[in-house]
Amino acid sequence: MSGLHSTIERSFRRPARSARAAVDMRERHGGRRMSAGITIAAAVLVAGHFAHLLVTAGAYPAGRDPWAAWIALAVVLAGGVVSRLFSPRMPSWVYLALFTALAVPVGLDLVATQGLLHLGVAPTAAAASAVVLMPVTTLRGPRVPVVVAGVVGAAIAIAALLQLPAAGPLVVVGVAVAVSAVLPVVVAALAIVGFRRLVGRELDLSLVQSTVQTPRSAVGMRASEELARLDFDAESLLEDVGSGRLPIPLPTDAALRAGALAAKLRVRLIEGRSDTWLKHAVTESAYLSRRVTIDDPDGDAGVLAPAQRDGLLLTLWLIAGERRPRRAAGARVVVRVRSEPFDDDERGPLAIEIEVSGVARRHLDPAIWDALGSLGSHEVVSASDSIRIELVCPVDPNAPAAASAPRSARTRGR
Amino acid sequence: MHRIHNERDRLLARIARLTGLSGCAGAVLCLLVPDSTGLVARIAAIVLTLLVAGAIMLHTERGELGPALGAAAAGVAAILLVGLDTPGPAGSTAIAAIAGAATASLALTLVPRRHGQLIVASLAALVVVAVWIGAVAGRGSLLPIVAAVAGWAACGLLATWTARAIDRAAERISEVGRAHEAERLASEAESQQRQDARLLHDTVLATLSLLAHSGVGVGQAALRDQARDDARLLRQLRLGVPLEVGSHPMYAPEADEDALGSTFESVRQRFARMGLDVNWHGAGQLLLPRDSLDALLGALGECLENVRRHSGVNEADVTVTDDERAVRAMITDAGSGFQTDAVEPGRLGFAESVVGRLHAVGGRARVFSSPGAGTTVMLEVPKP
Repeated sequence: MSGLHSTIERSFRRPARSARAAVDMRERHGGRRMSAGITIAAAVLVAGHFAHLLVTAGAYPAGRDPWAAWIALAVVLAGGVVSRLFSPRMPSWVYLALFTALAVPVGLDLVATQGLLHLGVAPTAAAASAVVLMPVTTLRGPRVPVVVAGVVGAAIAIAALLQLPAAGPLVVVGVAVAVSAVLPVVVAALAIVGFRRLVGRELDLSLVQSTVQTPRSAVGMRASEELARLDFDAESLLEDVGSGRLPIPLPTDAALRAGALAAKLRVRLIEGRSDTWLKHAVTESAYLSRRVTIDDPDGDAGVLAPAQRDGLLLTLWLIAGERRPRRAAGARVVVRVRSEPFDDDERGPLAIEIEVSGVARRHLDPAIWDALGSLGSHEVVSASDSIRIELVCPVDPNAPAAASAPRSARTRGR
Repeated sequence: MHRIHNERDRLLARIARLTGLSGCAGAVLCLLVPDSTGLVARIAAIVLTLLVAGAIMLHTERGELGPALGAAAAGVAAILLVGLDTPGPAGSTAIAAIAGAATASLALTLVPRRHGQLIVASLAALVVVAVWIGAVAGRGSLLPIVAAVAGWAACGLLATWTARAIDRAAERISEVGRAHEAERLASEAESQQRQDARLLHDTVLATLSLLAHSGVGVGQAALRDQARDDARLLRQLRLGVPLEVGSHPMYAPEADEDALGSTFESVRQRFARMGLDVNWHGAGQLLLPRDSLDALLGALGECLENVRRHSGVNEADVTVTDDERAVRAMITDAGSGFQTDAVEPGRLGFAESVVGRLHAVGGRARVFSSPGAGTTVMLEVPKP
C-alpha cells in the first residue's frame, strides 16, 4: 500500500515542480481532510464505547474498577497527540512505543471485566483502544494498525468465549464488542487506501492530459531538457576550443567527448520526429505505460483535434487503468493508428484500432463508450476475452502529411 | 469533476458494502442464537435482515436511492419486530448490528448526494426512534441506542469528510494539471525552438565531428574560429537572443519564410573556412516554409560535408532551380566519385541526415556518381 507513492513516479521522472505538487496533495491538501474525517469518526465511536461503559457501570461489582483502563487510554492518547504535534513525521520508535503502550488499557480493561459477562459487563476501554487506531491508518500505512486492532479484537473475543459456561448467550455481546473494535479500523484503512489510490489515478490522468494541447509532433518534456543540456555541453566544449584552452589536435578524452556529444545531438535532432502526444502520454503515465503499446509509425495520432485526443486518452485510461487490479492484471492494449490514403492532396479519415486483450467486455467501464463518441464512429468486435474497437476518426482535411508541419500548415492557411 | 465524483461514489459504495454486509451478517448470526427472541420474530427478522443485505448490494452496485430506502425500511421493521418481542442479549445485539452498522452504512453513500444530509438525518432519526421504542416498550437493553447513534454519526461524518477531502483534492489536481500543462507547453516550445535552430545545429554537429577526429585536416586557426562562432551561437540560443551571423540572420523565430540566399552565405563561409569552395548558381531568393528550408539547407550542408571529406577536391557547385511545384538543389563535384550501388543505402549517415530530413517535409534525394566521374546529388523539396 505504501508502494503507491513509488508507482506514480516509477518509470518517468516528472519535472520537479509537478512531482512535488503531486506528493504535496496526497499528503496534505485532500489527505488532511481525510485524516480529519477519520479522526472525528473515531472520536464518535470512542464516545460510543464510553457510553457503553456508562450504561453498564452500575453492574460492576465492588472491587472491580472500570475507570483505570479508560484513564490509561487517555494517557496513551495524550502521549500520541503530543508526539504528533512535536514530530509530525512520527519516528518509528514513538510509533512502536504507542502501540506497546496501548497494551496497558487493553490489559487493565480485560482484567477488570474478566468473568463479569454474565452480569452484562463487557470490555469497553479495550475496544476503544482498537478504535483509536483508526486515525493511525492515515499516518504510516494502514497495515500495522489493522493487524494491531485485529489482535486486540481477538483478545476481547477470546476473553468472551472463555466465559461461555457462565455467561451463556451474553457471550454474543462480548463478541460483538470485539467486532466493533476491529471493523471501524478496517473501514478506515479501506477509506484511506481508496482515497490515495483515487487521488493518484486522477492526478496521473490530469498530468498526462496536458499532452492533449501539444503541437502535432511533440518532443516530450524530457527530450527538451536533454537537448538543452547537450547544447550546453557542446557550448562549453566549443568555447574551450575557441578560446584556446584546449589544444588542437584535441587530446583523446576531449575528442571522445566531442564525438559522443555529436552522436547524441544528432540522435536528439533526428529521432522523435514521429513521436506524438499519444506516445508521450503513454510513456509518462504510470498506469498506461505498463499495458499500452502504440503502433503509429507515421505519427498520425498528431492530427487528432484536442477533443478527440482527450477522448482517446480517456478511453485508454479507462481500459488500462482499471480500478480493480485483479481484473485488469492481464489487460494489454495495442493501439494502431493508420491514415487512409490521400485523396487529391486532402487528408482522409484516420483509422484507429484499439485491441484489448485479457479483459472481457462486460468488465469495461461503460464511460468508455461515451469517450469513444468524441473520436468518431466506432465498431466493436468482441470475443470471450478480447475486444477490438475499430474507429474511423474524421480529421481536418487540410492537415498536412509531413510529420513536422504544424508551421507550414499555418503558412498555408494564411 | 464529474468523473472524480463517480470515483468518490464508488469508493464510498465499497466501504458501505463492507460495513453494511458485516452488520447484516452479525445480526443474522445473533438471531440464530435460540433465546435471542421468539421463534416467529426470529425467522421474520432474519428474512428482513437478508432483505436489507440484498438492498444494500443493489444500492451500492447501482447507486440508486430506492434500494437504500428499502434497506432502511426493512431494517426498521426488523428492529421493531425484535425490539418489541422482549429480546434477550443476542436479540439486543442483533438490533445494535442492524441499527449501528447495517442501516448506518447507508449514510456513507447517501451523504454526498443532493439533499443527502437531510435524507441521512431523517433515516438516522427513524432508526434511533425504532430502537428506542423497542428499548422502552420491549424492556430491552439501552446499548442498541448507543450503537445506533454512534454508528450513524460515525458513518455520516466519515462520508462528509471523505467527500470534502476528494473535492479539495480535485481542486488541487486541476491546479497541478494546469500548471503541468503550462510547463509542458513551455518546454515543448523551448525544445521546438532548439530543434528549429537546425542550421545552427548542423554547423555545431559538423564542428563537433571535426573535433572528434582531433581536428585533423583543417587549419588550426579556422577550427578555433569556427568553434568560437558556434559557441557564441549556442550561447545566444540559450539566452534567447535572436541568432546572427555577421549581418545574416540564421535563425529568426518570427520569420516563417526566409531568403535562401542570405542563409546560404553562412554555409558557404563555413565550408570556405574548412577548405571547400562552394560556387553558388541560380535563384537567391526562395520562398519556402521554414521547416522545408531548414531541411533543404541541412541536407545541402551534409552533402557538402561529404564532398569535403570524400571527394578529394576542394571545390563544389550548387545549383538551385525551382518551378511552381518544387525547389531543387544540385550539388556537383568533380572529385573521385564512387559506385553508387556499392554503398548500401544506410551508410555514411546519408539515409538519416539527408534522405530522412527531406522525407520529413515531403522531399527526396537522388545520387548520381561513378568512380572517377565526380558526384551529383539532387535534392528536392515540394513548394507549399
